[in-house]
Amino acid sequence: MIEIKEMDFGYVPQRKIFDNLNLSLEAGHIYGLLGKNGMGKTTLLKIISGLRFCNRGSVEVFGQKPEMRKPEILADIYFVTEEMDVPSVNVRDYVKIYAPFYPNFSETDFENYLRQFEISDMEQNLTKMSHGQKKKVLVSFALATNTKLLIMDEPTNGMDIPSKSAFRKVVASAITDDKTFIISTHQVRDLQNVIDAVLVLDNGKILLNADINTICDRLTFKVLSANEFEELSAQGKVLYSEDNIAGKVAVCTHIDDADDKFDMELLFCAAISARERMHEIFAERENGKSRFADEMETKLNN
Amino acid sequence: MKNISFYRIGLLFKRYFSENWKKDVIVAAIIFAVEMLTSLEQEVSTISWAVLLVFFILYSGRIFGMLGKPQRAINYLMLPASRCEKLAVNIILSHFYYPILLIAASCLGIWTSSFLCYFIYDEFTFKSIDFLGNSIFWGVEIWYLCLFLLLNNAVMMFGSVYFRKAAVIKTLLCEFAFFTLYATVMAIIVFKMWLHEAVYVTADKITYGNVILSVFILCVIAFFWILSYLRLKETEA
Repeated sequence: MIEIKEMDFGYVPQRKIFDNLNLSLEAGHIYGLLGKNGMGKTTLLKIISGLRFCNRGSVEVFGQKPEMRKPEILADIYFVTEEMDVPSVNVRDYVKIYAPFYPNFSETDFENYLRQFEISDMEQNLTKMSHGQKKKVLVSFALATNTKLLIMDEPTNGMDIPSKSAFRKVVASAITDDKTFIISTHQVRDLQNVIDAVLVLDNGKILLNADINTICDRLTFKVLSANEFEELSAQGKVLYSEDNIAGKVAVCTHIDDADDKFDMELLFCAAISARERMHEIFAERENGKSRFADEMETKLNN
Repeated sequence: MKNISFYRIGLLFKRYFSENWKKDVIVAAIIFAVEMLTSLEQEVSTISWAVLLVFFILYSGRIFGMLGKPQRAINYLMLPASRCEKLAVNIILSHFYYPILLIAASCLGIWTSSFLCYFIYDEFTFKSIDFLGNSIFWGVEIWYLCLFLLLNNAVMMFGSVYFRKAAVIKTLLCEFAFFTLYATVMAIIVFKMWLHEAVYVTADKITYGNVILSVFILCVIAFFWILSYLRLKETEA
């Protein structure tokens, strides 16, 4: 669905944000895009939606170049931005104005999502709403457009706790096999139960692109006692650890029969602090040789 | 999906009018009131072109103003419509809809003052409009006035796509610099032609000179539309 190959991008040519970035995203997943501040998460989302043009390489969405901004592509992409600029119209009029642009828009879905977000007043002017309310209306609208690609940049910012819970429910109910959702966020715990694949972006590279099943197959998230920690550290199995009241919470390479619970925040920290180990663990094996090994070989040859 | 769809153009117009009709009505009402009140004492009224020109400049100079604000730019660029459709809608709005709206508001204001006079002075005289003051050659001059307005709006529209911040001021400065240079060159050429009695561009009738000048201005207008399209194509949010 989305193919990025050997992409370079920088706002100024001397300072690249992405250097030879490769990324492939498939339909039917909710991707969580994680990264530190200033690593280019929003920029990557803009490039995917055709709002920014890469300096080198290729970007394809549904087999076409998004920067052409053709109506048929735009009708299948919806971008919910972090900050919002809404027109001075009420919710009902907003739908009347913008819904006809999206052929698969469902008014029933929209009303259903609004109900789940507990927004009942369709006559309220959007400019008079709070930040959180606006976000709920726009997220509901975005999901109701039923576009194949839905991009959300920090969608839970400004939402209260019940709304975050409602957000998880509506997003989980809206995903289908032919859709892809990309959610960029800092608030990983808000979205932990809804994201089924993780992208970690750091220093212009994708450090990790894996679904939750693969992550849980290859890693273990566990609270370790001091003895267990020492033992696993000696075996080189601990990728990342943090002190905790009960001992240490750690991300380890897979341990059989471990009673573990996936923790996205720990995963992110592990990806950032043990990048080469993580790369080795998740490198795709193609023809018996990993992509990581290929890259290392290229580096050595250079 | 076609590159030009009248359905999507209709949707873009619907979007514009739904979001902006109040502003346009307010501006038209102001023009209407000003023209009505300033025409009370006059039998023959002239449209306040200078005032209208300021409004046209402000309007056309901000027609793509949404591109200057990141969130608005994203919303606009992500709207499922082609660049041709977005440009066509903005050309129609800035070059035709807005001038017609304000000229109509001016005319209505002048004519309404006839009725107002009836109630104030107890005499009814229908006020006529002299579009160009004391102009004798009404037909050709009104044509050049229209061309000038179109050209001005085309340049201002291009400026609004090209410049992100303070587009109106920057475009006016560029326009001023360009026309100063252009007028200087033209003045030299016309003066030399006049010395050889070869000038035949007059405003009283249709001449080859008028036709050539009109076609030239129309080409320049089209040139700025194309430039706007190209700029819109490479606009990033």
